[in-house]
Amino acid sequence: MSKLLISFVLNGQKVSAQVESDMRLVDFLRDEMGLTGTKIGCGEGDCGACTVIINGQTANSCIVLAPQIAGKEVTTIEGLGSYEHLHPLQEAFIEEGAVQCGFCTPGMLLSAKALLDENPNPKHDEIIRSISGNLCRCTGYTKIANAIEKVVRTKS
Amino acid sequence: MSRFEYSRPECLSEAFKLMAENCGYSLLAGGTDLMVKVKENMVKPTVVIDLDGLEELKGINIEAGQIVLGALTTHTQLEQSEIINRYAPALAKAAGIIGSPQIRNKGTVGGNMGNASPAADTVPALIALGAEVTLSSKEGIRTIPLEELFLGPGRTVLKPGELITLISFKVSTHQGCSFQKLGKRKALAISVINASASMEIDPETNVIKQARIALGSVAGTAVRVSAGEEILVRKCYSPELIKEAAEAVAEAIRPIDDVRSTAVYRKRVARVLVRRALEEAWSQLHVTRGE
Repeated sequence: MSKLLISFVLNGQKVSAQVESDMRLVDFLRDEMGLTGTKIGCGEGDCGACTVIINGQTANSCIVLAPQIAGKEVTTIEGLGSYEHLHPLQEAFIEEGAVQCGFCTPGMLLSAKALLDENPNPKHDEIIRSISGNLCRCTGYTKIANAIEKVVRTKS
Repeated sequence: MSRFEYSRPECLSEAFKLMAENCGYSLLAGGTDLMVKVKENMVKPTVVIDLDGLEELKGINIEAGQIVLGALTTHTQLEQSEIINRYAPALAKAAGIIGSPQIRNKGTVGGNMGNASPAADTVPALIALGAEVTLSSKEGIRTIPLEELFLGPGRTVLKPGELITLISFKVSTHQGCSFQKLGKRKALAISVINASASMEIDPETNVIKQARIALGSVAGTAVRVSAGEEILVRKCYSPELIKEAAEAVAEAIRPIDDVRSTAVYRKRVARVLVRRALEEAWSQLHVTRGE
């Protein structure tokens, strides 16, 4: 298959890379860029473990092709915070016990970030709806929603 | 997963050329259905043609009482559009109930049609709104009623080299429309059954001039049920009339048993969903007229 040269912005940095024409974005991020925070769950756009933010909107990176991100801005979990400086959402997830196995966490955090970027003061049902495309099978949604609500309360 | 090339045309004529040159093409709009089918080897394209560069297929416009949607309009755009929420809230509701935020951000109204799932949520809403679809190819364009687009599950009348470009429907302050969905959970659920209904009344006499009732997941394609519509036309709204129409719809449809539900259950809930759709369409009518 042919390789395509794409340029895009990844976590605030301009990147140019050769990508296979039929490579999934999630594989490109994990295998070529080394960003393994984006998880592969169902591979069919159901579970949300591979959620990334493309031009301000969440997307399942398992059903996006790498060449599709040419000219776009992509944020992965690695772009949210660092070990030294956690994002307020990451701090709230730790404080509220919203992380158990951690597999859904990167996607949950990015869905929450996309919500708060668009609407800094969401209601409870808007928070629940914003994470409705992210399946969690162990922590439970209550603590996750509480963590997001905590950030909303702290900001306002 | 089969291997394929990727192309991103910048205009329709370039897209037509690519479609003519590559008989094994698949069109990529939001990719929420295509990429799953590719993964499952249900389709094996040689080339994926990404339509995202076709600006002429984007946008929501209202002109002379008619709403025109570009086929690449996403479900999120439909759900958030001021025009759609004001003139066609049933469509905003249908779009807002599909899949998940991630799916709605990517999935498009044209893709929802092209995929031709009998459970598609925007399709019954658009049929009830009286939508027409414009199909374009390098030979020319043709416009057909939406219900005539579908031949069966996954099958449409689209010819090789042809694609869905626009969806249009008339709006009126004397028309109300509603969408109802029953799924197994609220998010990421494919419809067990869905129903949409619209009613247009004569503002002088309150007589129902036109009614459209469309259901999904009860046949191989979304269906319009004239048996229910005929009961409403030339009558005045009453709870009894609505009940009678809903009964007639449930009687007329021929759903099947499948992975998501049974024929018996679908017939029973069709009655409830159609009644709710007609009640809500009626109340919409009063909202849009400011009563």
